[in-house]
Amino acid sequence: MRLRRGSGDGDSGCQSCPMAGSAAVHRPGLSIEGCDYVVALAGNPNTGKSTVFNALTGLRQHVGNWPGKTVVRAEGAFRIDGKKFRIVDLPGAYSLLSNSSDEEVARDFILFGRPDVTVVVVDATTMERNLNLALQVLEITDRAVVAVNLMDEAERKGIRVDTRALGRDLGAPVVPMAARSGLGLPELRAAILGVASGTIQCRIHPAPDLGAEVEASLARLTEAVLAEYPGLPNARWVALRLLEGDPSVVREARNGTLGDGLHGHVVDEPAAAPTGAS
Amino acid sequence: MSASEAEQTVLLSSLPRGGAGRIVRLLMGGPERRRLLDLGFVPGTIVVSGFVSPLGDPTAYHVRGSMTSLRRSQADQIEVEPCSGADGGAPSGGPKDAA
Repeated sequence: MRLRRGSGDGDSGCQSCPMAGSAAVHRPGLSIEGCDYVVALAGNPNTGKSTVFNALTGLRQHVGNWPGKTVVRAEGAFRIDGKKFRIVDLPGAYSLLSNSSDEEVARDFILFGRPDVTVVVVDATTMERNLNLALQVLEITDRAVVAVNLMDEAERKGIRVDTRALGRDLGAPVVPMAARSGLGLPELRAAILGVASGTIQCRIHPAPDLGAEVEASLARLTEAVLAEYPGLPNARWVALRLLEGDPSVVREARNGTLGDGLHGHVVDEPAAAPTGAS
Repeated sequence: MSASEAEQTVLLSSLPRGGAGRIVRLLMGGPERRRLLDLGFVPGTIVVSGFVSPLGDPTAYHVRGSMTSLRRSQADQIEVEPCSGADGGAPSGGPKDAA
């Protein structure tokens, strides 16, 4: 597995790691069986998801400063207060409503993978664009944490993010971070544990009132979707996409592959360019 | 809906370099419209035309604190109302409720 540390790497990375010596670290986690909670790591491209992933797990997934680096999901594990978490690093996505294949991997996991906690990593320097995805996630779940990463970079650019006010407005835990230097990591861990264990619950932001006629169609469609896919989470969301004619959802619902992105894409190593592997 | 204001609008593609406009509406539909909305091209948003590539086709626009390149065919389908856009798009935290 490529995740294993190369022997020539030296161990300086371990010592500078914010988790070094922390009692909470059992072993850096590839062993993902028997976990208590599943965490999904979502966010726009190039917001530092993989850096947050590495900071939480102590792994060294490939981190690069370009969008689209993580094309499939990578998984790891970590512990907080004795609870074992499995964490899934998803490809970057601007939206749950988009049609590129890597964004579909992210979308399918968030919607259908039943994560116990969804951490949305947002870029403090481009909050407006990033909060789109955060709101979409808060539309479907009350178990989310918003991690405002790159606070250091924002500060350099003279941008001040009022994470407190944001948390109040969103009704969700908002954690300011600079994951590269480990800033905000303890707070993120606390928030993840809080949401996972149910002590923190987010306010759901439902889609605006759609009117009686649309609601009636939506209810019928939702029922039909559930008849075809018993137990499918977020069936209403799916019905809404069908109603607006989202081509990828329509196609998937038709050929029975709704949520299939969940299976088949699982990798236990960092995403590298598939062509360069051999 | 905004027929009376519509006389003032131009297409985003016709903004000169450095010119700013407030988005009035998107003329396309379907996934492409969705995509542009996701990237921040939402009615009411100020867009500033940035770099133009040598052949003039993709053009980069400042939108909500980030920069996004659009093809001419896409910029042709976005109606904007030219404005001064003093603060538009520069990485300064974005327009705060620019009303």
